[in-house]
Amino acid sequence: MNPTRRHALKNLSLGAGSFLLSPFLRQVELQAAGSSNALPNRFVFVVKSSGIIPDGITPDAFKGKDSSGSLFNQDLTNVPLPSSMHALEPFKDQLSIVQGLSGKMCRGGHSSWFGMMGVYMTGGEFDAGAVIRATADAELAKLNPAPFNHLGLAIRGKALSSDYGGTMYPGISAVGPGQELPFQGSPDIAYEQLFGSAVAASSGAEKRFKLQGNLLDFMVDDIKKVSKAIPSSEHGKMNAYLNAFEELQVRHSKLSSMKEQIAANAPGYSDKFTSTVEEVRQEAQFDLATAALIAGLTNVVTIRLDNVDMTYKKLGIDEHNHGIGHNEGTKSQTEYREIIQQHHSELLATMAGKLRAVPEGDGDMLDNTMIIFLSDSSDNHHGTGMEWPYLIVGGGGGKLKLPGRYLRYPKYGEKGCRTIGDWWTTLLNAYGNPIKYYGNEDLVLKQNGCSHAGPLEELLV
Amino acid sequence: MSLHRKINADPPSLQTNPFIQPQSALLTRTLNTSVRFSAMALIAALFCSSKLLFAQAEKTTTPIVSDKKAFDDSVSPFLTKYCADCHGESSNESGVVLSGISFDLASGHDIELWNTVLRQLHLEEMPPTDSEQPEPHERDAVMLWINAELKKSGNVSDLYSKLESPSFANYVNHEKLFSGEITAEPFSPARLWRTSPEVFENVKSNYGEGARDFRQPFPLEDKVGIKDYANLLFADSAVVSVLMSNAAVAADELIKRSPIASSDARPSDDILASAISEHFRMVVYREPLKAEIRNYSELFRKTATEGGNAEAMRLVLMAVMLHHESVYRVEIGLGEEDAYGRRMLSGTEMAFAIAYALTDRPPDAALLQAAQEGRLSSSADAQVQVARILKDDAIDKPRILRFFQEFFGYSQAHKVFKDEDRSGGFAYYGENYPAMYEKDADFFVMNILEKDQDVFRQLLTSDEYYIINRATFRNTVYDFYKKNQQQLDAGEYPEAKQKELLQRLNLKGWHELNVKYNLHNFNKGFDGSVAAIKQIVEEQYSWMDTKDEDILLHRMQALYEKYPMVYDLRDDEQDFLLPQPYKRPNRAGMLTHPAWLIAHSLNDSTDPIRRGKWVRERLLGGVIPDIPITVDASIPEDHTKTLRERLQKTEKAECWRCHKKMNPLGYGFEIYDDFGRYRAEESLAKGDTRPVNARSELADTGEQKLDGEFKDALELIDRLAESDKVRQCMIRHVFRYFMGRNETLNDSKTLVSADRAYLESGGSFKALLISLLSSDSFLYRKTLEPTSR
Repeated sequence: MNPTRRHALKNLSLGAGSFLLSPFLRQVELQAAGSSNALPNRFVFVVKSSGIIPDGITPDAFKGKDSSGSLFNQDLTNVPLPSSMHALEPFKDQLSIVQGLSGKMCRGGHSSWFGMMGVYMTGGEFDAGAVIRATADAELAKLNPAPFNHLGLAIRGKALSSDYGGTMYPGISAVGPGQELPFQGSPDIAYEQLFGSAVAASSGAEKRFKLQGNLLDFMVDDIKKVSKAIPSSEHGKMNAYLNAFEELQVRHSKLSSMKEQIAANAPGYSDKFTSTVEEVRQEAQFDLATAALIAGLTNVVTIRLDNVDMTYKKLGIDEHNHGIGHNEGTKSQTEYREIIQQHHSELLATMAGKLRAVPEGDGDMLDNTMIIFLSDSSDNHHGTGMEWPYLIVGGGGGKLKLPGRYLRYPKYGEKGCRTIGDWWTTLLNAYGNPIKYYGNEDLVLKQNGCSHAGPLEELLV
Repeated sequence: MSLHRKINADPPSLQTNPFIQPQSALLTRTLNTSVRFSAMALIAALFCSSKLLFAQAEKTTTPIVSDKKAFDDSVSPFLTKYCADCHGESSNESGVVLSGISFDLASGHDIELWNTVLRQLHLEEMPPTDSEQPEPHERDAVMLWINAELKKSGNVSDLYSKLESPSFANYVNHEKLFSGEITAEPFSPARLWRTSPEVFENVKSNYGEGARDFRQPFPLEDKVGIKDYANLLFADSAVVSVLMSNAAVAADELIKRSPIASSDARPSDDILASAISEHFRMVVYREPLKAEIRNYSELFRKTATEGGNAEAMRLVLMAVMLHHESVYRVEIGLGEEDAYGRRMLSGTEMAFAIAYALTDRPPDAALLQAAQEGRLSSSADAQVQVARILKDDAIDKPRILRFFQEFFGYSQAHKVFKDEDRSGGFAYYGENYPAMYEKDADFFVMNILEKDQDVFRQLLTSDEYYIINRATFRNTVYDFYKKNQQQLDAGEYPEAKQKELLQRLNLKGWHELNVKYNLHNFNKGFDGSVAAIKQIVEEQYSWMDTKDEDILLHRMQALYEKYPMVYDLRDDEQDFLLPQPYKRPNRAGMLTHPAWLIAHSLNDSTDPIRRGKWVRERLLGGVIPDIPITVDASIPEDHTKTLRERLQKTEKAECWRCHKKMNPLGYGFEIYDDFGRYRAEESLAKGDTRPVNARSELADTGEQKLDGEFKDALELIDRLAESDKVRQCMIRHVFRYFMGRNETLNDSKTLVSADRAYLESGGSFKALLISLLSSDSFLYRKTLEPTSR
C-alpha cells in the first residue's frame, strides 16, 4: 500500500461518527495495520449491450473442442487470445473466460433487464419491469461497504433508449426489492460527487460540497426541534428520518477527512469529462471508477457500458448497435463486433493496468479485484439465454479458482449443465453470503432431472 | 375507555411492583370477564409497545436483580403443570425443552426460549386446545413476569411490534368484535403516516420542472396483502437518499428561474420570506409558520455569506422540499378533547384524510373550502364529503380498486413464472400474460362495483368474466370503424357516436383508458378521434396480415392466440369483442378467476396450501402461525402421485396442527390447474393422468352452517358467500386498508355500524365506505401517552 493511502486511512479511522460505518472502518483499520486477510474485495461489473457472442471471446485453440457432457476446464495462460482481445494479453495470468452457463429463467431479447444479475424474468421491450430482489452486484456491495457503497456509472440508459446524461436508471441493477440503483450518466457530475469534496473539478464543486454541510446541519436541527411536538409514540418515525440525515453528516465529514486521500487519487480534470463523444465518455467513466476504487471511495462499481441505440462513431462505425445486431451496415456483424471488442478490451486493460500499479498487501490491487465483463442480453443481440459468457480480469483475492482458466460448461440440457443462478451463487458464497441458491431456478432443467441450483463447486477454493 | 387507561398504566408499574398476582387480578376485573385475555392483551400490546420501547431507553442503569421468588411461586409451577409433558428433556416436542430453563432471564439467560414461551402464551397457541387450559390469571402472571424480566435484561419482545402488522390482525376475537357488547369509544392513535408512492407520483409536478427526473422515494415492499400501514412505514436512509437527489434536481431547475438566485445583492427579508412561502405552499400545502420562515431565512443568510445567493437559494429550496410534512402526513387530532380523551381531526386534517383515503391526491377545492368554512367538523360533515366524492365520476378513486387488488392478491399473478412449453402455448416471451389477466380481474371487480349491489357475494360468486387483451381492444375499435365506416370516412363523428365507442370499451372518459387497459405504449395516447381509430385500423391490417374480415374481427393476433385458454376457451370459440362480460361455466367469482389462481400457484404446480391459507385468513378470520424454521417445507417429488397425494407429508401430527387449517380448503381448488384452467384430470409425468380429487371438508370455522363436506371449490364458495362471518371478515380487511392499521376490540362500534350500513344498503360498497370514513375510528385521534402532552 502506498504511504499516502495508509496515512489517509489511519486518519480516517479516527474520524467522527465511526460507529455508523463500523464494518467499513474496521476493514480499513485492519488494512492500515497491514493485515492481508482484511484486504477489501472489489468488484467492477461492466455491462455491455447486444450480447457477447461466445465464439468471439473463445481462443482459437479451444474452438470446436466440444466438451460433450462434461466441464471443459483448461489453462488459458498458454494459448493466444483472439486478436480483438490482444490488449488483455499482459493480464492473462489474471484472466478467465467462463462459458456455457444458461439463463433461461431470464427474459430473452434486447435486454434481460435485472434478470442478468437478478436471475429472474421481468420487463418488456421498453420497460425494465419489476424489481423483486437486490441484484448480485448489489449483494456484493452490501458485503463490502465503503463511503459510496455501490457506484453506478452509465454511458447509456435503458436498452433501446436514446437518453444519456444525468441520473439514469438503465434497469440492470437494484439494491433491493422495488429499489433500482441510480447510475450517474454524466462523468462531470460523477466527478463532482466522487471527488468534489477534495478537488475543485468545476468552479463551485468544492464549495457546493462544503455548503451541503449547512443543509444537513439544518435538517438535523429542524427535525430535532419539531420532534418535540410529535406524540412520543411516533418518535420512532421521526428518529428514522433524523438518523438518515445524521448518516449523511457522517459521510460528509468522512469525505472531508479523506480529503488528502481523495485528492491524491482523483483523475486530473479535463474536457474528457464533458465530452459528448461516446467512446470518450466511456474512458471518462472508466477513469472515475478506477480512481474511486484506488481512493477507497467504493469497492463495487457497476458500469453500463453502452446500449443498443449507441453508435461507436469514433471507432469508425457507421451503424448503431441495433443495426449491427440486425446485420445492417457496410461491414459484416462479426467485423463490427471485433472492432468494438478491441476497444472494450483496451478499456478493461487500462483499468487493470492502473490497479496493478497500486501495491496492496503482498501484491497489488488487481489481485483483490474482479472486473466482470458481461452482457445484459446473454449470447446474442437478441439473447436466447442458452448461454451467458463472462470475461473476468483480476485475482479476486484468491477466493475462486478462476484466474488463468478457460471454462466451458456442458450445453443447455446436457448432463452437468449449469446456470447463471449457480454462477452468482458461487460468487456470493465465495465472498461471504452463504445463500443456498441465488435467483430463480430453471424449472425445465429441474423437471428434466438436471439438478442445478447451488454453487459451482469446482470454482470454490 | 377506562379499559385502555388501565392497561396503558400497567407496564411502568411492572418496574416497581414485581409482585404480579394483584396486577393480573386487577386487569381481569377491569374487563368484562367474558373478554378473552388474548384479545385484551393484544390491545394492551398494541397501545403500549412503542411506549415500552421508549421507556426502556430512558431508564438509567440499576443493578439487575432477577425476581426469582415470582419464578418459583408461579412461573415454574405453571411450566411444570402445563408444559412439561411435551417439552421435558425426553419428550422435547418440536425441539423445545423447558425443563432446564433459567430463572435468570433478567441477566439475559434463555432469552430466545422465554420469547417463544411469551408468544405461545400470548397468542394462546399453547397449551394445545385439546390439553388442559390454564386460567387467564395464571397465564397473565407468567406473561407479566417474562415481560418484567425481559425489560430488566435490556430487551423487549418483538411480539408487540409484530402484533401491529397485518398478519397478526386476525388475533382479535371476531365474535367479540361483532357482538355489539363493546361500548368503548373508538379512535385511531395520533400518528404520522408516510406519504404513499401514489400520492408522491400525483404531487411531484408541484416541485417544478426537475420533477421529470424524480425517482420514487417511498416504494412499498411488493408483498402480499395490505401494504400501506401507518405503523410499519418509516422514512429511513434509503428514502432520504432518494429525497435528497430529487430535491437537488428540482432545486437546480428552480434556481434558474429565481430572481434572488440570479442577483448578487442580498434580498430583503420580505422578498426572501415570500419566495420561501411560495415554494413552501407548493410542497407542504400550508402557509409556513413565522418561525419556519425565520429558520429558512437564517439558512439562506448563512449560506449566502459563504457561497452566494444561488447556492443559498438552492439549499433553502431543498430544505423546504425535505420538510417532514412532505414525508409524513401528520394526524394528531387538532380538535377539542372530548370526554373520552379523544380529539377530532381538525377540518384540514380531515380534508387530507378523506382525500388520501380515496383519491391518492391532496384534497380538492371543495374539501379545502369545506374545511375553511367549518363544514368539516363532524361525522355528518365527513359523510357529505365522502358521498360527494364517491358520486362524482370525474374524480379518480384509484384507492378503491387497489383495495381489492391487495385483498384478493390477484395482482401478484405476473410474478409467478409460467413456462410456455408446459402450458401448450402460454406465451410469455415479450408479453406477460398473467399481467393481462390481472387487468381482466380489475374489470371483473369494477363491473361489480359499478352495480354496487351485494358486492361481496358477487365478488365471490359472479360468473361474469372479462377477457380483454390488446387484440380485444383493437378488434373492438376495428369493429366500431367497420360499422360506422361511411360516416367516419366522411368526417362525421357526432357526440353520440363518440359516446357509443366509450361505452363499448366500458369507459367513462378517455382518461380511464390506461387505467383499465394494458395497452402497448404506442396505443396509450388513443383518444377516440377518427385519426386514432384509423391508425388502429391500419395496425389491424398490417399486424393481422390479411384483409379477411372474419379474421380481422374475430381472431386474436398470433401473439395472443392462447390468451383465452385459461378461461377454458379456444381463440376461435369467441370473437372477444367488447362490450362483455362472458358467462363462464365452472367458475364462481374471484377465487376461480385465472389471475387469482395463478397468483396463488407455484411455478409448476397448483398450491393448495397457499390457496387454503388465503381462504382461512381472509374469509374466515383464521390464524396460522409462521412456518417453524425447523420444518423442511419441500414437497416430495413422485411422478406417480397427484399433488394432493404428495402433500400427505403434511398430515403428520406436528404438521397437521397448522396444515389442517389450510390444506382441506385448498384441495377444493384442485379442479383448476396452475394456469387456472378447469380440469377433471391431473397430468402426471410422461402423459399419465389421474382424476382430480377435490372433495374435502371445512371445519372449525366458528359458524355451524359453514362447517361440513364439500364437493369442490365451487360448492365451498357458494357456502362461504352466504356466511355472515365471511362478510364481516371482508369488512375487517376494508377497515384495515382504509384506517392503515389493525382493528382492535376498541373499534367494535365502528365495525358493527359498518356491517349494518352494508346490509341495510343491500350490499353497497359505497355505503360501507361512507360508514367507515365517517366513523369515530377514522375521525378521532388520541395520544396514547397521557403524560407526554
